[in-house]
Amino acid sequence: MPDPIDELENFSIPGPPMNPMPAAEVRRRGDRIRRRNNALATVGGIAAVAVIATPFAVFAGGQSSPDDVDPAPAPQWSTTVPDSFDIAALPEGSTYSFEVVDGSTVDDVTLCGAPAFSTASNDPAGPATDTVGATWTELESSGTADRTLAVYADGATAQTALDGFRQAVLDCGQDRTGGVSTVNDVVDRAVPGAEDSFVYTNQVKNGALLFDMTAYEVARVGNALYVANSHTSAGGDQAMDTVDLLIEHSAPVLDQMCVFSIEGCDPARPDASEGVDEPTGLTGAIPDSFPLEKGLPTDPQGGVGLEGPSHDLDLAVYNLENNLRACGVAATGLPKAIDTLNAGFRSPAAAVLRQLRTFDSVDEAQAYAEGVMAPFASCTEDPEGGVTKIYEVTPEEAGDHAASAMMRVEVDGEPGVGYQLVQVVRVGQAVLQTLVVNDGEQLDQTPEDLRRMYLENSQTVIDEMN
Amino acid sequence: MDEREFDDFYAASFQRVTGQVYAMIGNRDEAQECVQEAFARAWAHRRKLDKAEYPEAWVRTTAYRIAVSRWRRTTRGRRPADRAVSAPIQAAPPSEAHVALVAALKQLPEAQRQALVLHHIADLPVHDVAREMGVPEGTIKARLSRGRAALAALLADEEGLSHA
Repeated sequence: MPDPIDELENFSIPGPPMNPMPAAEVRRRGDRIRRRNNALATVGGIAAVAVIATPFAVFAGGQSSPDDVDPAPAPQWSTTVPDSFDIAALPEGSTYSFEVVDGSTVDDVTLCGAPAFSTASNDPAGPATDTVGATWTELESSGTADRTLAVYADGATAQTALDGFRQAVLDCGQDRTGGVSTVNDVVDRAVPGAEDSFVYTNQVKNGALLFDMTAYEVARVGNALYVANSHTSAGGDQAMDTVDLLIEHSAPVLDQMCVFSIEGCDPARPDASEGVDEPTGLTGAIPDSFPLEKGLPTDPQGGVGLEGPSHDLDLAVYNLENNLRACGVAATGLPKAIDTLNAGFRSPAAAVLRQLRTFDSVDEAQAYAEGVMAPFASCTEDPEGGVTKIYEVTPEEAGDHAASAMMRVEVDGEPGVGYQLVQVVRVGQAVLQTLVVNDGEQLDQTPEDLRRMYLENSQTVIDEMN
Repeated sequence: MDEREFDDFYAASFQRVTGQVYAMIGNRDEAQECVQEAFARAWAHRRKLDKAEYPEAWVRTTAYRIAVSRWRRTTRGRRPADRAVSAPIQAAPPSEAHVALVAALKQLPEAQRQALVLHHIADLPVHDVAREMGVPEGTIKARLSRGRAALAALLADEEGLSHA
């Protein structure tokens, strides 16, 4: 048998010596990349803009617009962004963070030579009364993202700004200004929580090739407009992945935008007033003493071993963002939890993360449990090279609702090493989510056995949720 | 990093990084193009790169990500422009052993393949492999152990087939 270490350590590149591009040419290309990035940032092509118009609807005062036919009192809009508004908010477990800046991170967006959106006076709808921004850059991938929240004098002005922006995109399918040919496409996506929204992509076009894609999300709630974008050097069909990610990562910002709506953030909820959503089981804040670790392995086998329970567990090592995706798609629009408690276990070969969440209602808890499973349910096979990830979602008998998503690997049609399991169990308004990642061991148990084993290991926790 | 420092860095690292990326992705032409693109991005971000403790690791990681991104585009029916206009490099046929090794590496899970390449070809200690891949050292040790065993088995299978 050949020694693989000898083979590896004597690895060489076959064929004649390589003839790499001269260093001066590499630098020239780097300079072009830098100029392009700077230009895009200036016109807003790269940046992610989140513009929120600030309406804090207050019904006191009865100041009616002279143009109003309806004599009913007009709402008074707040024209500033509250200090508590978190423009940098990201979903739990995100592995990057935004830097908050004072003002818009995208000064204007110009399409086909005409202003399409700006928070300044040159915006077709007029200037915003207040703006906040946030920005993020990933050096390694040239990825960037920016957010701007712009507040306008009233809801109608914010809507005019959104309508003007959308029409400018529709009127400028291909933009040849500035010496670079770009294409703009409105994509079929709605932004959850927005009163009106649209999403579009802007990509450089060179022949049949599309690249340097910037996805834009534009959403209005009340008199606030949120504009976010995300840039990647890739393009084409990958656009949809970036669009979905952009919307998903903006969700915590949209969740806060109710402060700009007419109804505010605490509208009377029909289900609450009718008393049909009585709390059952675990609700509200989860105590640190909740025995979430019960049933997890205890032998670290040379690894970290048990972690938690804790509200502040470092989740980055569990790579949730990637492990909860299937076929490149992540769950979107998941309800926001009231509280989350985490407990984990890590050995050199495997990691298990339990997350216990409580929600405002049974419906929200159910929506979360189903939403987490949705990417796996819609992706039965995910081939990459000779390796194929095979997903199977199975209903389980536990709690009020339970399901498992099992991922196993095949290499050229043969069983490969490693597996992943995601389980959710809802009890009343609480959801227990378990993620198991094993990237080193042959699957020597059937998927059914593994599902059953992890569910049984969680039974003590499930009992405590009641 | 000024022009001279960058040129020296490029000259010293290009071949080595290309070899490592080639081992990860199994395509020499693609590896060379991705590494060149990574160096161009390194120059574009040179001020920030000055602060990087391991600039060669930065280039290697960037090149690998570019390769993955291009592979996804290619498999979805799009062909990168620079590939369409550049002539493929004419390489002499590699040896059987080399072909077998590259084929075996490609059959390994991505995480194991990366760990093996960084440790045994890039000659990085386990600690540095763990840092570059963003996982604990214990995970790297496990991946190396299982990767070596899997590679040995795959090469043995290949040898058995060629002798049959």
